[in-house]
Amino acid sequence: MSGVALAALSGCVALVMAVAGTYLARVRMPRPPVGVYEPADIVLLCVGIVLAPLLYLELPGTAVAAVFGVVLGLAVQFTLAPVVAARWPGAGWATATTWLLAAAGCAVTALLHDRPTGVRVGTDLLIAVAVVGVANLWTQSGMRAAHVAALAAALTCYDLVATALTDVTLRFATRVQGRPFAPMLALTGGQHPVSVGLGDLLLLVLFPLVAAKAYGRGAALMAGAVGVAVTGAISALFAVGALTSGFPLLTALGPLIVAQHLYWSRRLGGERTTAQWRAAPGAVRSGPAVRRG
Amino acid sequence: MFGTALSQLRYSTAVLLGRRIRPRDLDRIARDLVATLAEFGEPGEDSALLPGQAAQVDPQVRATMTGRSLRATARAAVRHTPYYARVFAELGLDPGTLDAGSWSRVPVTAKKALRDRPADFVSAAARPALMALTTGTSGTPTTVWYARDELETTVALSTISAALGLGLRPRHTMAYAGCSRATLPLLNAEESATRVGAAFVQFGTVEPAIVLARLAAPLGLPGKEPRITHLTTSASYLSALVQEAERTGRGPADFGLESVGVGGEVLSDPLRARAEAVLGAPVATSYLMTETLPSGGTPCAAGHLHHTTEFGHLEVLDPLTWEPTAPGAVGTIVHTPYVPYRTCTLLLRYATGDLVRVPAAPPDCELAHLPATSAVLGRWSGPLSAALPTRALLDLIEAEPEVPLPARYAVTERPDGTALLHLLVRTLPARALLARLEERADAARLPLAGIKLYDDRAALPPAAPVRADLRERTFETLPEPPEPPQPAASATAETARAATA
Ligand SMILES: [Zn+2]
Repeated sequence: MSGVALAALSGCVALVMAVAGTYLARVRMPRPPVGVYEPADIVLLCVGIVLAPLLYLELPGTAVAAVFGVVLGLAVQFTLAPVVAARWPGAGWATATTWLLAAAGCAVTALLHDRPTGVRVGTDLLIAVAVVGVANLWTQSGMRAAHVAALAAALTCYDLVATALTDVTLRFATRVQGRPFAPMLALTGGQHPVSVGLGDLLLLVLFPLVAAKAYGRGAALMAGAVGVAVTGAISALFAVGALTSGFPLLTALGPLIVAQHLYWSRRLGGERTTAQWRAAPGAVRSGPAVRRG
Repeated sequence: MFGTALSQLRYSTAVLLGRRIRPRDLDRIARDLVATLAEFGEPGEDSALLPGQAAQVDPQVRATMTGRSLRATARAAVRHTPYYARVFAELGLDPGTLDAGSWSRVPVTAKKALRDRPADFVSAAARPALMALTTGTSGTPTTVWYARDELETTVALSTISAALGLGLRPRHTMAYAGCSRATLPLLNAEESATRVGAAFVQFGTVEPAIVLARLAAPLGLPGKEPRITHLTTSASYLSALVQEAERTGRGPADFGLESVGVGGEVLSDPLRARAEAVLGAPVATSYLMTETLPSGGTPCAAGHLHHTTEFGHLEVLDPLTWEPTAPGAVGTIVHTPYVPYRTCTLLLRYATGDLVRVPAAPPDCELAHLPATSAVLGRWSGPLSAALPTRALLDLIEAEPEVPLPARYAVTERPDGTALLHLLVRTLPARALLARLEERADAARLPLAGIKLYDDRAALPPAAPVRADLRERTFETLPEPPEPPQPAASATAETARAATA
């Protein structure tokens, strides 16, 4: 495996984290009139994450690509919509433009299906934007650090089973690899690509955001640093040949997320509500509410 | 998140199909709203879409919904209540053929019909649970039976409106200074306030001095504002509070009130102004009645009363001919509360007797999408009550600080058809007061032939009773005037009470 690509992967993860943090500070996403996250939501999320690969293994490859394409397109659209609406408030064309951009991104990626590098670049861009959007949506709609810790704990166990003890992840990765909209941020192709899975990337980006909301800037920076360090350490193990095939990143990251949550919640006596976070002086703050057009 | 979405979906489906609303769904929405406010401090976007929050609906869609709701309500009433089964059979009317256009073929239900035989209006498909009695200042209370489901629906809707409309939050404490026998409004106020997380206290209609002392007293509760923040009462009892506060020289600094809610009686503009001046909080009114809950009216900035279209159908009709009232004219509110919000006591075209004026021009206020009337002017008791409504008289009387509150007055009709106002004052002669009243009555073009003042209540012709007359007794003696909170304060108050006892 290329050492440069492995180092670049940590850089990419750090970059997506930074973009997501800036997004959190600057862009306010719309949320429904009523609704907070509850344990049941986290359970549902886990069930979805566990069932999705199993379901996709049963579907033809084209269908899987189509489903991922639509989901990614939607995520890109709702990520861009508040940005465009804030930049050009009240413009009727703003929403239409975000739909066009999302559709164009997906169309170009799909059309490049016989050029592996093109597919990778297109998919990586869509994945990065979607992860920034989804992590922000969850954070801004009130997901708590305790929820992310629970999610991380559950997914750690799952990852251990799916990646380390069975071949579900491997079969799934082999299946979608190289296809447009494959749910991974991949820097190289081939038999053993340098890549990070969508779920891992989402948790890497999500926890610093939620930590910023719940515990403040220090916790966010620590969460980001831990995430990049974990990615870097695993990359280093690959580079020196200690690891050769897929490694369940969450088995390392998950416990660290849980530990950080416990540490900050003990230290600060609990986490802040979204209202307290938005009202806190000097905290990461978002601009004025943006209405969906 | 998903649970709330599911409840909202189930609720909307039930409403659209006219099916039974699961109280659990509404309860869930209300509880999640409270949780949302705790997390975010404010509801998310489009909170107008929540039940009872007066969302803008396409007029075409609304007309379809109205027709469907009216038919569903009429069908249920004819199928399950003896009264409407009889009425529709006599007229040969098929409830399935009705819509908003042909709705006028349904005869208006007089208040007396419900008062005389309340059981005839109870649906055989419902299980009556609570007998709600109106205050009955008009002589006989009206009986309205509620089923358990209806109570839960009503409480959930009140919780949503307390959180969004009233802005009630866990740091608040609400006091209820209304008749303790009015079970339904009391239960509703207590449940909605405490579900929001606010504290609640029932004062009852005791001596106004006691209520004022309690409003002024520090609560000393963790997480709560230092004093009571919200007061709910009737207009006449509010007038008694205003008089007592003015008499004892109290002002806004003596209270911690943020909002005063008044319902059930006509609140005049001068009384509102005087109450806001002494209590230091905005006084808001709403229009709700036991018979037609959860339908009601919300005032707008332009002075209209806007009526929800979600829970019932409003008509403003001439009380003699039952023809629709023309714009600019005065008529009475005739209301049909919809199934499935109401399931026990079913009413079609119920004549409330409440007088309102229909706006002369279509409103262009923030609530223009909802039907508008004036605020309630008074209660219909004959042509004179429309020509000289309670509101006009209270606007005249309650502007005069010399008149004791609650105002005691009577209007008599002379043989020549003109009207005479009889008013109780503190002392006679009161020539300056009389001159002012006459001048202002002329300026307001009230059809009054004269004003007669009395200083002896026994000599005054019988005045209409008001809710403040339902005075409740208490063993409590007046507490000490409020002091700044200090460790020994409660002990001092105890000693003082023991000394006076
Ligand atoms: Zn209006």
